[in-house]
Amino acid sequence: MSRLLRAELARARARPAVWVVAGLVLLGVLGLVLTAWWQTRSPSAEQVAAAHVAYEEAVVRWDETGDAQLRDCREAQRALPPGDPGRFDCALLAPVPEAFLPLRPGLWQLADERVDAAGVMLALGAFMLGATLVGAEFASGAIATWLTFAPRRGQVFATKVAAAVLVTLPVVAAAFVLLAVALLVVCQVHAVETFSPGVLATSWVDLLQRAARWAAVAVGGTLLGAGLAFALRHVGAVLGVAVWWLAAVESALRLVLPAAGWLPLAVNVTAWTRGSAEYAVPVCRPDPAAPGLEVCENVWHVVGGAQGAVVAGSLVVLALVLGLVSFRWRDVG
Amino acid sequence: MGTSHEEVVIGTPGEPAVRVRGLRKTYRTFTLRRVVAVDHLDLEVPAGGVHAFLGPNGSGKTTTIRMLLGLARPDAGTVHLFGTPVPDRFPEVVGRVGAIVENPRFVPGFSGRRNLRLLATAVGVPQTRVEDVLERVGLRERGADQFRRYSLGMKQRLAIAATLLKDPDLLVFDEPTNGLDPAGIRDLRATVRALADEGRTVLVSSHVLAEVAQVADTVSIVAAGRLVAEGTVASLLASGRGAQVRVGVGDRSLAARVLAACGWSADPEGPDALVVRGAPGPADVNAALVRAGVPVHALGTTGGDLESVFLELTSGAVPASATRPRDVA
Repeated sequence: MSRLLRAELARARARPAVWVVAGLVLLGVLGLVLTAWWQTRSPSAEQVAAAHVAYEEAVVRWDETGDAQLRDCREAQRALPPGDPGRFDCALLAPVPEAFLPLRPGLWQLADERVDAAGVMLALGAFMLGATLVGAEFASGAIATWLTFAPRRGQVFATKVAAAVLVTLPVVAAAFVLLAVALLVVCQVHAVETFSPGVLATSWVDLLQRAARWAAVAVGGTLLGAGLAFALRHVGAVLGVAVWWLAAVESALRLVLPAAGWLPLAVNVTAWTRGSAEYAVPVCRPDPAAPGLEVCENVWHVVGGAQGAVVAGSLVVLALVLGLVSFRWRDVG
Repeated sequence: MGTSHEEVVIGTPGEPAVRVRGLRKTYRTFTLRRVVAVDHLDLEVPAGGVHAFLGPNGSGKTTTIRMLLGLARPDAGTVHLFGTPVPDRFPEVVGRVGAIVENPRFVPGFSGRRNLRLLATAVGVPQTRVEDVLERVGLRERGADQFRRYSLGMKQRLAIAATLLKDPDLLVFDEPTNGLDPAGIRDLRATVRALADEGRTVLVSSHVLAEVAQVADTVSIVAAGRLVAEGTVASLLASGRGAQVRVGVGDRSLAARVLAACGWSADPEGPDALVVRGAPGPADVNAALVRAGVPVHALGTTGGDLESVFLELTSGAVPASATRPRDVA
């Protein structure tokens, strides 16, 4: 088993498609970093001038109405119970020059906004890795030669799937490390806040957990791609099924059968990575005010994180079972 | 053909390297029509020597070989390699079997050497063995080239090198001469013979008898998925199949009628001769014509070689039956 796995890993390392997919994923992450660079850069002279003008106007208005605003604010604050999240210092209403400059997010906000995008890219890349590592063997016919050396198909299946996962993990790690390090560098270069006390430690923990959940999604993507490639025996066929799924289940099904909104992977992956996701099911009833007509309203259903994991995981398991059954029992050649 | 070789046979004495009984395989086409690829095939390949597995294109050779190697599952019948049933227990004998099925198929972007190293890793063969087998097939100098840049002959040689990694007792080459130039075919024949002379069993399939007949010790001929003849080359020739009598006569139409009355076919050849098929021998043809008062001025045999046997058997000119009795599973 370990010999086969070593051989599969050597094969994967030497396969250009693996490097191309990994490179595309990392390029995508760099693209996310570029947007962060653009978002955190120092304001231009024009922006500073415009902000100064706006600030001067605000100061004039504040001089005229500031007292009244403060009075109204303090009355409203007094009405709030102690500890209410809506309470704040009314003095903050006074205009300050920084408030008129473009907002420059800090490290946590930059990472929070980008971890999901990076995760989606990783999941798609991992799906491709799984599909190409297995599908190319069938397309070239090398699998027939391989089976004359390693005829136990269950073992061959397991080692190919394991190799695909082991190839995916470093790509996932590299992508998240690249994102974190590059965002930190961006923040340092542009002198925006990095680890400010304003961001709670639990927020960082939540962010790391979300990244870890996306790593699990990427592994699931690899397994899904590999399983489908074993079942369909061609990367093109796997991509065809993926496109069909996107069109039929992720898009059309929501419109045709809203009650099946729990099925699309987008909903379940969102639920798994963010803790929950929602989908709307319109519920219609006769309109008492207009006989013969109906009035409809959306009822929102929540998909929990566990449910998302179970549904998405079930799809992965189904693909793997189909792949294993097909590989074990169908002729090769 | 008919050459003798000093052989050291590997395996249990008397046990065939390959024994196939009642093998059947059908496929469904896209139109769901069922096609019979192999139809109750019996086959026995003795241990040691070169066994030619012959038949026209589409006769079921490759399908049979794929079933021997566990790549395809038979609908019915049994396959034993060195007495071990396959595909169920193929892993037990896989170390003794090296095979090329149809075209040599490797990872196109890898060098020949890297492809072999992968396979060596998979079966736990020392990496030094890779250099040995590359040397043996004359590819050591080109081992670093990508497989996709190899000529067809080099691909075949690499495939043979791959089969030798395990130092197998049984080598299965499916149409190894496909696409090779005459020099390549000659080299391959020499390699096949040399492997057999080391005591290995080499099963070579081909649809061109001339390419393997010179090195074959035993032959099986299949047509339409069924075995039509098997045995040693000598026994096939001795069976008289394919032997034709060429007879020179004055009145060809009268002679043809006389021969037809005997149950033999006669086709004109040249201005005054007939080629007679199905007759036991020239003497019988001569006697029949003389008895009928047809003067005979020339008599001889033609076509009594393995090629003729092959062509007759696979074209259906001779009723399908083996040259020696076969057990039917």
